[in-house]
Amino acid sequence: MRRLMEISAVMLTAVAGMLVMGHYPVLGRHAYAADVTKIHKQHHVRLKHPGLKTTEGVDCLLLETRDQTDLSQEYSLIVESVFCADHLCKIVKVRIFLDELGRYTRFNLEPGTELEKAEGKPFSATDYDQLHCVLGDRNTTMWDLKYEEIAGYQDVVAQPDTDLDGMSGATKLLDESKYVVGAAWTCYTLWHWVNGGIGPVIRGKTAEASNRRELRAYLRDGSEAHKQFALEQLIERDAYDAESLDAINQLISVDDLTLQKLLIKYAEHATADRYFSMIELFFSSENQKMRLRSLRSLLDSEHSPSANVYANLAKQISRSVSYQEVALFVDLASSREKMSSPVISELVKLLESENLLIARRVYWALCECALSGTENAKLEAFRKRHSDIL
Amino acid sequence: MKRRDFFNKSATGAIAAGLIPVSSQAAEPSSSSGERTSDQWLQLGTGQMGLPDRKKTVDADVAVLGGGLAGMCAAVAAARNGAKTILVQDRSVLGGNASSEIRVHVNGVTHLRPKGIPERETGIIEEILLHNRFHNAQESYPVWDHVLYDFVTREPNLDLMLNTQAIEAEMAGSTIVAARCWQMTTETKITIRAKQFIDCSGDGLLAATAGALYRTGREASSEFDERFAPKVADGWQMGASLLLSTKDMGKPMPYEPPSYVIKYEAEKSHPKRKISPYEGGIWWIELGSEFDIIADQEKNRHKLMGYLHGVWDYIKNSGEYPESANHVLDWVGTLPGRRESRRFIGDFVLSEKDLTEHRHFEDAVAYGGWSLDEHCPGGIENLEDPPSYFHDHFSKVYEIPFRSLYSKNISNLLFAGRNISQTHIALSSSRVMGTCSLMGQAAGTAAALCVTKTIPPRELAQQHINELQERLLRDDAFIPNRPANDDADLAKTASLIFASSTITGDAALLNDGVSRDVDDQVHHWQSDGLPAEVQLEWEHPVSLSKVEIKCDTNVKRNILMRKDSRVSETFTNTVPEELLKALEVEARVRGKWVSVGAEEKNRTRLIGFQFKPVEVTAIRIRAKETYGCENAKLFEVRCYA
Repeated sequence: MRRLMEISAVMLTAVAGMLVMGHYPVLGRHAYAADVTKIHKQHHVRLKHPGLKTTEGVDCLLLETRDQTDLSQEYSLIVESVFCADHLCKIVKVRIFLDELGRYTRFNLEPGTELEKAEGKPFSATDYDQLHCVLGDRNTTMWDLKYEEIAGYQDVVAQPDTDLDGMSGATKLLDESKYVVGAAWTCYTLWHWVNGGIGPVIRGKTAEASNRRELRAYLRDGSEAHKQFALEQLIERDAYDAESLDAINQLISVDDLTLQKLLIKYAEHATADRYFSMIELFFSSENQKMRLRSLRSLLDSEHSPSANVYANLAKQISRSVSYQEVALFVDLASSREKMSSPVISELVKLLESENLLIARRVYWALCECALSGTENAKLEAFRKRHSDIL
Repeated sequence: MKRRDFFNKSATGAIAAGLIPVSSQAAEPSSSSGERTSDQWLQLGTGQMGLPDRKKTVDADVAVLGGGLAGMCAAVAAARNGAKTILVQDRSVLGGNASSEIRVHVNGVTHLRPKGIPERETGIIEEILLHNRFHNAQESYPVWDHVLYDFVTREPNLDLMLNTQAIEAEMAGSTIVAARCWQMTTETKITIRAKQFIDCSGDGLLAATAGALYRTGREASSEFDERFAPKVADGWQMGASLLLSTKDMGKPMPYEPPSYVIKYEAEKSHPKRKISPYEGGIWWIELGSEFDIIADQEKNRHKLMGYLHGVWDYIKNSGEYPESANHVLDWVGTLPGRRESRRFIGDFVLSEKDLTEHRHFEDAVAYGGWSLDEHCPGGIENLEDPPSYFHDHFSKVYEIPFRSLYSKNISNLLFAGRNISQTHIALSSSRVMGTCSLMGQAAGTAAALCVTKTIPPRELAQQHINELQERLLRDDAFIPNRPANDDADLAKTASLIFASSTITGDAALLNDGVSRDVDDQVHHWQSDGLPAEVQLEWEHPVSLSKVEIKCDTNVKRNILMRKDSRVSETFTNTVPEELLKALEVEARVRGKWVSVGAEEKNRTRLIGFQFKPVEVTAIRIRAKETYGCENAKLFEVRCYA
């Protein structure tokens, strides 16, 4: 029988003495060998956890460490392995590690300790591997589960026959790949420490410690996550200095959707003049999605583009082979003021497009415009030539 | 009276039940007032004395016998496809095993190995489950009964007869011309004349009286080369279960069993007879039969009630489950949920290897994926065996052919549900209600086509199977390995399909014929935020009057109602947040966009817009809002003249 016991809040305080170098048990591929790190800083932070009785959170000590070269930055937190509902669990200290962007990287244990599953069985090497995967997976319903829902789960997972047509019973809360069978509480406890509030705290610490030069370095040499982080910070700081702009301009052909959105956001946070010049630049991207994003940004913008902006874009549009780009530009040009002569002049060229969808889209737009005699003649010629598609 | 005489003398069309005057009573043959000739009914209101008129005849294109989920889907499908349809149900509520009377979960392809991800059924059964999510957020079983009632009675081409059982077929050679029914609440004998009959009643009384070939019991393994069948054929049929629900009263609640209790012998039980969790019932409180399970039903029902209380007595009073101290029985079933009895013979008998080897059928119309969950012979009276053998689990779905859904020897008789043409082992998987519902939609659609073409189901299978499959796919059924390819769908002729934004998938996939992501292949378009648009452009104008869209309901997550209200990665207890709520369809007519349809509270995966025919060069679908997701996901767009 299991008795649900009141879960007491744990005060998590790192004990420097615990960080005994070179004495960690080797528990498989993830281990947990000696950490060749040194504590660079200690941060007092307050963290919440759904397994805690209190909703106020608890004070924790976040350790910032550097490797011997001082280049590689890492954060860690020492927590108890499990909030145990039945008071039968073995509790050990687990040190979880996160990178400078607050992403889980690894964990290790106190020397001579090991994690335990249901019925007192120790974790196998495979279980440690699995736990590592679980902690690194943010795409899981661990987010939504309450501690009460997962309590008792260890009984359920022991039942293999999940095809029960007549009753409710043993259907899994979680895919078996999302936890270590027999250690659901441990997984739940550690997963929420790793993926809860600690990430944003660390990102904040990294942001505080990063200057524009370092952010530009992220933009230039970092991973996509680092680039995203840097862009977010530059937006936050209203950083539109020449060097930052130059670094950003190097990114206009990226294919990553999040980065594209951040680039647009960066432009949209700028002054109107700077916004339009950046959008024009983005529209010269080799990446079509980026060009379309630029046009959509203009379409949704509260700023009114100048005649020059329209004219410059129209020049590029007149060479476009993309129906979507032409259609978006026509929507944009039609939605504001009357189309200017330079814009009309460029669009008239598209009546000759081999892509009849493009030509027809332009045709209908030009029908609404005041055209010159020559332009009208071209429009009429198109109408006669392609009456079957209108 | 001979049946033929009865039919010939019956009035055409419905006759309102009323009083037959005594003066005419003597002149009328006894048949005109049913079997009743001796009533002495003095109606004080009129002062007249006579016989109550308890007989009527009704005509339909399609008669569906059995108002479980298979029958409901069959009836709704037939009605929607133009057949005047009657649904006959012998209980006072719809839903069969899923109803509040029995409360079995509507499982189907609820989870596939190894990840436990479902391949959830779409089409009419999904509509039913969504209807329940919108109207029964409290997950009440009695309300579920009414949700089902609403779903059926709102169909304009469909009549429902509750408390009515089809008890005998009227035959003309090998063709059923009518079903003789008895409606117990009105004491009325009802004759239903129809062109096609679909027996979805499980036990299949009408089909049996029609002379349709059937069998019961377990096939010998040699007959269909079945690995999990017994070596020698026998009569065992999987049993019926009696379920229960419990409630925590917050204080100790004693329990004393009733007089008919049968003691549960836990010490003799196989370890796989798990008791906990028991809150939603214990499915192995089950009794089968080795011979005539239908004849045994009442005897077994009484024993099951005794066994149920025996198990509960063990839970409450053995000391093994002290956490049950505050628990009481909140609901107990009285009507056992049946798994097996007659299996009718069709042109094809579905068997084990068709499932386990995922054999492809050119006439596939449905699919399944529940495990080979063969319950043990004897049920709770065979405690030493595990309650189910769980012979095999599926990692992908299997196909069910149309030839298993109609009778081999009765020309206008179709089946859907557990009584289709299959072996005992195949039934051990296909019997779950989500799967039966797919058969129902297929059989109902087929019956309607048979009526339209004036042909029997066999001819439909041989000559028009493509048309049946295309119709099912258009109506949002999923047929494995059978992409849609409807020549009438003008979306397939579009010159260009694109979207305003895309985070996953591709708008160009919206007319690829597959309306779900399956076999690790993407078949969707998903917006990057909302609102978002999908646009179809035609180089030459096309005349359109219909646009049909299939949006996302997340078929990888179950939406069935469960007693434990499960919420997890693979179960939800609410309307799927992915479902598209608000959208608009515009058509470009001579260069101008005009709205041809809008929906602000959509509640289905298949969204249809019908409008006056217009010549268009483009269609634009503007997705505005979902039930929670920040992006909209579509799987299909179709356009019709």
